[in-house]
Amino acid sequence: MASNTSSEEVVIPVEPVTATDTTDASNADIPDYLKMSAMEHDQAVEHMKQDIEKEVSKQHLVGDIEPTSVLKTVYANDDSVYQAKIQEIEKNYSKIRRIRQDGNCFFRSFGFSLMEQLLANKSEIDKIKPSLTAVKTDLIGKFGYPDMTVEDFYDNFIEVLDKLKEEETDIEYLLKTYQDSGLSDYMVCFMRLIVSVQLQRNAEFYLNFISSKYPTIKSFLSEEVEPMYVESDHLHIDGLSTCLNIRIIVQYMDRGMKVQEHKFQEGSPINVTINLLYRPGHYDILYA
Amino acid sequence: MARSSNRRLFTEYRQLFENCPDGIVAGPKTEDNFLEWEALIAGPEGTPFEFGVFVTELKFPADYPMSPPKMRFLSDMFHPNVYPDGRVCISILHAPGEDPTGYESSHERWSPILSVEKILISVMSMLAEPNVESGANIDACKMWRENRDEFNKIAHNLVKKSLCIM
Repeated sequence: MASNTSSEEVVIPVEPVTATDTTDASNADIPDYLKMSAMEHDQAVEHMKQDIEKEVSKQHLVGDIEPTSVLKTVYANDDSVYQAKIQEIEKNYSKIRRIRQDGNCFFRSFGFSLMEQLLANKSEIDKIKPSLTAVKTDLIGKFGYPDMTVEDFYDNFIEVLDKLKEEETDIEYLLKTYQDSGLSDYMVCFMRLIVSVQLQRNAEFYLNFISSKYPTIKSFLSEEVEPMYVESDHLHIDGLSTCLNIRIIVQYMDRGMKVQEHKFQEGSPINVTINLLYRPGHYDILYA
Repeated sequence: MARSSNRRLFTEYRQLFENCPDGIVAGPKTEDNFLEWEALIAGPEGTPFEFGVFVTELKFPADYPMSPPKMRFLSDMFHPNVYPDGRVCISILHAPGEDPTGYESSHERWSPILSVEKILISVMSMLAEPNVESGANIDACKMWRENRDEFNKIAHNLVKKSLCIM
């Protein structure tokens, strides 16, 4: 807009144009959102946010297993980059379980996939428990977190893990648990605390990877890790994977040349591998 | 959804009942609705609000503790961080990303690990030390900065009012 005005001052029009004409003509080119006042703009953004939230809340927290090819319908047919990458992923992972896009997707994917595998491999459950208990003990004893709230999240997580040991527990139980937002979010909360502990235990190391806008590890945790609905990145994955010593393999599908694979805790002796698909801003679970 | 928030609020209520911080009394308004609480907060010692007992109300969302409650003074309050209609505006009552008055990132935000107790303690220290950088009541901010005597006088009157001796 500003450049239009300044060019009008310099360039002499071939045909005489009146001032009002110019305004009308340039106005027609201006998108609606630029004609709004600041308040209208804020309201429009707020509405858009609410629409997105409404749309997102229709998705299952944890979906059913689907063929990986379902992703082809998500992207345009002529989006050759993504269509080719989906084919590449399909070769190794024929199935996918989609997770709600609410900022908690990494944690929900990890938690569900972990427990789904433990359900089929019950002997591994007790190998993970000591690290979970250490998380609770360190949060309360070492880092001064309130015992009441920490124990609430810990107890809930352990309760579900113990339930997995029972003979009659099946995948339906796990799905029901993860699709109930109250219970599901409680799991996510505890997993966020696991990352928090891991980063605090090794604050000096992790600080190297944190944006300088966070002067302390604590400030990063209270903005980017502990609150719900805040998206995860590499550090969150590393923290959770390292603390519990669980292998995670992420297939990164973005606009780059080809699908990139990242492995965390590759040498873990625990017989669990969390396979995740990353698309910008989102994680889902993959199955071979 | 309601199951978890009720369970958590019940645990918090029990803990506050057994072991309440000095100057705070809090609990559900009625036992059949745990999502609405009333809390009494004593004006902190050595502040213009000393000796006052202020009634506040907390309303919890169904997904508490994932999201924070909303808090409001029912007693009259004149304070830089309380809107004229009584709503409390401090960083701990907001999730990160919500920025009604542009807090600095150093101020603690809501996270599910916090609790009613933590909120009430924050509100008590807010009474003692207003944050005029991110004010909710502009008149109160201005008066706090430029005319402290007048501010203290108003606070004293609110104290008397809260004790029903005015």
